[in-house]
Amino acid sequence: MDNRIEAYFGKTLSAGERAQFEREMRENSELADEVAFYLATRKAQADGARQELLEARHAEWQQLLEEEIPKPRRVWWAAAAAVAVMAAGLTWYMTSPGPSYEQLAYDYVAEEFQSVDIRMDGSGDSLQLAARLFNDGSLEEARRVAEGLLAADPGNAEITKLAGLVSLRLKDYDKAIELFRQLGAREDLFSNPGRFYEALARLERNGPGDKELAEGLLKEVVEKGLEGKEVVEKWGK
Amino acid sequence: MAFNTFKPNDTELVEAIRSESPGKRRAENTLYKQFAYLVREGAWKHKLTHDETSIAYSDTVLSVIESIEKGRYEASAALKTYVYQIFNNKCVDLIRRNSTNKSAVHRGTSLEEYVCEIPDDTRGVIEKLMQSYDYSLLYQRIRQLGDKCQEMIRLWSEGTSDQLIAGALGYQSADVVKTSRLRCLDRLRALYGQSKVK
Repeated sequence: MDNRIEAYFGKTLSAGERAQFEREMRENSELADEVAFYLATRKAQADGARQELLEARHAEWQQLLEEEIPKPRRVWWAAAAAVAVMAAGLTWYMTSPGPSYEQLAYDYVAEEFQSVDIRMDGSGDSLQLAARLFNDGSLEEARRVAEGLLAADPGNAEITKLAGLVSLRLKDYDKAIELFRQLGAREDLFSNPGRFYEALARLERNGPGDKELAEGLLKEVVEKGLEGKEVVEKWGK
Repeated sequence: MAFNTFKPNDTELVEAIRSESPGKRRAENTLYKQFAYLVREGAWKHKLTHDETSIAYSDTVLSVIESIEKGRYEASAALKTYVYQIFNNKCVDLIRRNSTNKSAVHRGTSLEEYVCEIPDDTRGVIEKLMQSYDYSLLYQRIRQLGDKCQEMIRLWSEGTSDQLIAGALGYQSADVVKTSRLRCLDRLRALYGQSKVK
């Protein structure tokens, strides 16, 4: 292959050499074909590599969609066995290599806490507003509204939860942990994610003793069948 | 009240894809899932099979990710509109390919700047000669070269400078890289020629 091809496309030929090369390329079909091959190789490599990447990502995404198909509900009598399996899974997880709890928590927060959906259940316009601000990414404004609501109605679990999530998204972990701790202490709620969320916030903060406390909370979530149990079960796999 | 699943806004999604954070892959998967309904719509609208639109959609998402990474995506267009337009183009391209049995000529490689170097009166001839090559076969032959040649061609096609290639592959200088690349290309040409003769 003519070594001037590299110099030509690298723009290192002199004006005279360049003109000579272009003249030859026009008149010499062999040189023209060498130039075409040079360029075709570059394109073949780029296209081929992209095709491989496309095939790999396509397979991954198809798998992702398959995993999203809802699985049939388990019958109640399997619950006891499931709890045992979960506990074993959790133990296994804690002693085996794989994604760390911190990583799983980070991913979970990034995936699940980007938006909230507040149904029209009489929660009140201001709570709707706070949720909308949260979903729009106006987190500071959402915090102001949520904190105002909380000051007026400190016993409202929904407001506490939303205020905690806003703090978590703003990486104000101390505040988030305090709010989720308050929520988790409530025993009058039908469904209470407080313990689970507090564990997530602790794992994200990752301060001294946070990991141990978070693991204890997650264990409690599993054992008591609290909200978040299914997620922890999944992490345990 | 119920908290539902991930629904980030465009800015959050784009920032996560642009970043090198652990959440990047997750954001890319979210982008894929967010508009996956287009597969069914595309099959119906363009009368293509589900498999065809499915791969066209994956191709679309990959293109969008590349655009975001390279800063070509501008937030002035909503992500949904951007995805839809690219997907539509991919489907049309697919229909064209199905009817002409030809692959797309341009796939967004950085070849244009090279071709533009060639004078107008010769460019057409070179492009025609390029089209005479079987790119799929050429890529297969690249994969049959030695590891060093493969890596050299890969880095070169990605636009890596010869100076950096020299450092990465242990050559003494950029000039040695140029000479070695031409040798690799000679080897490739011979390999390709043999398979065409068969």
